[in-house]
Amino acid sequence: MARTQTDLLRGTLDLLILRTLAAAPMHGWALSQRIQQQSENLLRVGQGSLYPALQRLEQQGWIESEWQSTEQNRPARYYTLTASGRRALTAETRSWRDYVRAVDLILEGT
Amino acid sequence: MRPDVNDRLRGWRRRLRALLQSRRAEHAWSAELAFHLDMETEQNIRAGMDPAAARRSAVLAFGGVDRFSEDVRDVRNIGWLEDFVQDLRHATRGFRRSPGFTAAAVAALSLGIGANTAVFSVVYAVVIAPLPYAESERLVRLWEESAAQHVERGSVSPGTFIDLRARSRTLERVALYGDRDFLVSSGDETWESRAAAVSPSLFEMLGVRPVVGRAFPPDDGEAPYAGTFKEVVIGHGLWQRHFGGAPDVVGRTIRVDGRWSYTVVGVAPPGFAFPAGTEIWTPLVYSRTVAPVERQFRYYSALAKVRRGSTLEQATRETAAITTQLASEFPASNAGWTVRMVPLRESIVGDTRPALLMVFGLAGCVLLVACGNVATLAVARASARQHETAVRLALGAGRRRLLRQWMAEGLLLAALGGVGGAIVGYWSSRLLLGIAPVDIPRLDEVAFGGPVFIFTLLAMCVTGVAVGLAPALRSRDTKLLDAMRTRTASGGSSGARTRHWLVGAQMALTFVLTVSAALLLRSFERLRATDLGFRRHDVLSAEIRIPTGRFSNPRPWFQRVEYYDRLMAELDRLPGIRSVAGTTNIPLTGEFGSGSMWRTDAPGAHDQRPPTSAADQWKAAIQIVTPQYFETMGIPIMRGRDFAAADGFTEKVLTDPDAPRLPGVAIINEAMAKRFWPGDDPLGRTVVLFDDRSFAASRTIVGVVRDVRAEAVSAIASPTVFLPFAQHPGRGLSLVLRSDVPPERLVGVVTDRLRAFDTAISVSSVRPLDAVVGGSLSRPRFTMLLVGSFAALALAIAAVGVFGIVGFLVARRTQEIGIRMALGARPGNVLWLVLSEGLRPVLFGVAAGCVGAVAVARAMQTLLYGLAPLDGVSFATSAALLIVASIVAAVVPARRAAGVDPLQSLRSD
Repeated sequence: MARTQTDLLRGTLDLLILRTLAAAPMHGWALSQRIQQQSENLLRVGQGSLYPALQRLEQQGWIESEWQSTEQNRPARYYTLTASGRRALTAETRSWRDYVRAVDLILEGT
Repeated sequence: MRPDVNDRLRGWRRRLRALLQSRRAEHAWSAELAFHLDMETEQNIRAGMDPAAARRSAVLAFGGVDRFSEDVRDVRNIGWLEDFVQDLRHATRGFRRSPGFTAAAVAALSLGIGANTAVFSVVYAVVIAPLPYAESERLVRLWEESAAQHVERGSVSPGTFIDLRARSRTLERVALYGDRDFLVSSGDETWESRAAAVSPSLFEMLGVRPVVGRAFPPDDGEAPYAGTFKEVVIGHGLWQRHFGGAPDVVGRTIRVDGRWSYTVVGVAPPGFAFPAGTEIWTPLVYSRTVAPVERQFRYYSALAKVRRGSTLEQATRETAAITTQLASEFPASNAGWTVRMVPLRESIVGDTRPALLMVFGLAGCVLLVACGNVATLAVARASARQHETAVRLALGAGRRRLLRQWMAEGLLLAALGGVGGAIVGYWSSRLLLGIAPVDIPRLDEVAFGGPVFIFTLLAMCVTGVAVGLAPALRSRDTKLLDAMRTRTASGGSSGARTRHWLVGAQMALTFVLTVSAALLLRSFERLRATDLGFRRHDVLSAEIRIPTGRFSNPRPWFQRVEYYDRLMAELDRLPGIRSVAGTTNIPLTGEFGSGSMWRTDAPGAHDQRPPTSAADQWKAAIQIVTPQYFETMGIPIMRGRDFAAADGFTEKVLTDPDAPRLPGVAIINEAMAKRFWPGDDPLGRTVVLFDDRSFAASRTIVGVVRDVRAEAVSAIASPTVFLPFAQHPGRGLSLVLRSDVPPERLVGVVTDRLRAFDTAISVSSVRPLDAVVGGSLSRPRFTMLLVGSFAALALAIAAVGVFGIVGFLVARRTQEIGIRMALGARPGNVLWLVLSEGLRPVLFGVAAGCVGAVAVARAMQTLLYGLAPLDGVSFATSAALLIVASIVAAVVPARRAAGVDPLQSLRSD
């Protein structure tokens, strides 16, 4: 039981990261801020899971990272979505929608 | 959703890079983390906090920087690869702490892997590697066979050869070859070389192109042969040795046997020697037709190449059909004869394979014993480290992680053992080749190359997994609390059980090895003790060759008889020599020539013409001897008489081949009398020998001698006919000399006298007959030595295992023993307690080993001589040996137990 929950959460976080990076390349801190804002503060991304997730996605080849300067001229690690990351986002989005619909159907059916 | 292949590849590259650049990645992560915290802090300041609080809040929001750093590392790191490197480092440290264990384990594995590597190098070259010929899998040996004539795997007649060549569709090519020794002279040099007359197409068939000059022009029997008959191809080695590798060797002339001249036309590539040992090839040409006599005369070896697309079965079936045709077309020569076809490799190594594979299997047992031994030691170590294991488990180390660590230790040990094994294997392989009998085929192809290394690597990996798995499986059921509670370096009951199992298994395998060794040893002793039928002590044998050119026309035969008479008289005068005799074959030095013969009164036989029915033609071994041969060799004459000086032909008969042939005499052995005159008296009967017709009109049997083991110690005598040399001086003789003194003392004197008598005599070997007998047993001796050393090795390793577990037992139970003794147990009781527990797995192992040993003994039945595979003595002595060795190994630590001072032991801990 506990295992499916973690998997679920992890999968969701990956999806959110991919979706957010699809808009623009950004560094980790901006990413966490952006997700929080976009979800109208409903979702708080724990930093402790954000960075391992970024590492994992990079290893899968879905995102790439590069050191660039910020507007304040400080070096920061910027993450970018790759082509295969884009494909993954499409697929993940579809399966997430299917999942939500399935859960909805059950919740409303009873 | 799975990442595609490219992503995976990229992932791997990243991981590897991460491993190589882990320091830089670590650095990058720190920078990223610092950046994040800075941003968070700035935001907090903007929100109105003072800088210090803002920083603290940022760190708090992140939540445990160290823990998440670890998480990031976990994802970033190549996971198991980096873990593995860590594990190896950990293992290395562990081994450095216990050098005794490490040395013992590495030594055992080195010996085990080394023995297997050495044996595999031989097995590979002899049994597995393809023959060094083009498309060698399509090459087959052909033999003619006849059940009625008791001929198995017999030679092939030119008649059968030409008809197979002309009629077969499944055989692409057929070639004949026959070998003989040439005495070659070129310039001032004279030497002996193995030569072969071969069908001209043999070179093409084997895919061999001369490195210099040309081979013989191919010959299909249809068109007239394009080459000449007096030309030779020479071997690469001979070219180097005697012609200094001169490229202008082509066109030079060599003289053979002082009489014939041959022109060198080509040089074979290095390493090529077919049939084995050949250095000179001459063309052997048969056209489409042969004389009827060439159908009866079976004296060649034959080789064929199966057409591409045809199978061996198809070829065999078609050949059987052709031989049936031949039997009806040429009943006088071919009735009852069939052709057997065997893949060439099989024909070369077929009879070596079972023994080699058995030795290989037993070498595998040694490695298993070594593995078992190291696993036992590793389990003991693991038990001692149970506390550590439990602590690590409690601190959250995954069991899988622990398993990986055990495996890393196993693999590291195996890698060290593998390196040691490669070294041990290299040297033992050379040692092996040094003591290997010369008659094992393809030994010159043994090389320490790629396949051997792959094998060593494989053995190493399997060993590593086996050695690592044992303690890992054992630690699987470590009970956390139990283990944490006791601080003593003791193993749980499961550790003891695993160790007992392992020791039992080692003993079982060792028992299989010792039984095999005992069987081979006893079999060898029987071979040694076999009654050979001749005197083996006090006889000296001299294998010599005299150039045929010594006996020149017009009276070669007469001159030869006269020459040997003088030579033997000369040797007879040497002090210490009691009698001298000549013989074409010294027993146990090689194959005997055989020939066809028939009774003079057989239907159709007339004036030296063979009988009409092939069934009336007999096959027998032919040996040509001088008078006193039987006396010198101590072979009793059972009936009739020995040859006498009077059994000779006149000078006219021996000089003029056209003079009318006279009747002669012959002696036969008991086997021949039994086969051809069963229940009848052969004395006074007359026979004609096919090969003998240019010497004698017929032969009257004047004596019957006892059978001797002439072909092999283990082979009973074949029917043999003896002819007096003075009536059949067609071939040269070797000599046997009976001496009054130990024959080895006469070797030098006899050799010198031979050389002094005639410098042209080529002396191949002068040695006591007992040494000849010993040499003929080199193969079983070799097998016995190998398996014996394996058994000794395994026994030593297993005994160390017993020593180890009993020692461990004593160490673990010192307190208990102390209590027992405090309560009144006497040292004897304690000794017995420890011994009985330590030896229990040994007894179980021997019992289990019995089952395996029965199977192995049955499998090696063909290697045993005069011994039933379930030989009670071998089994009983092996069991006794194992038990005694184990007791000896167990007594040392057990006595330590008996010497425990109760007070001391209770106080300790």
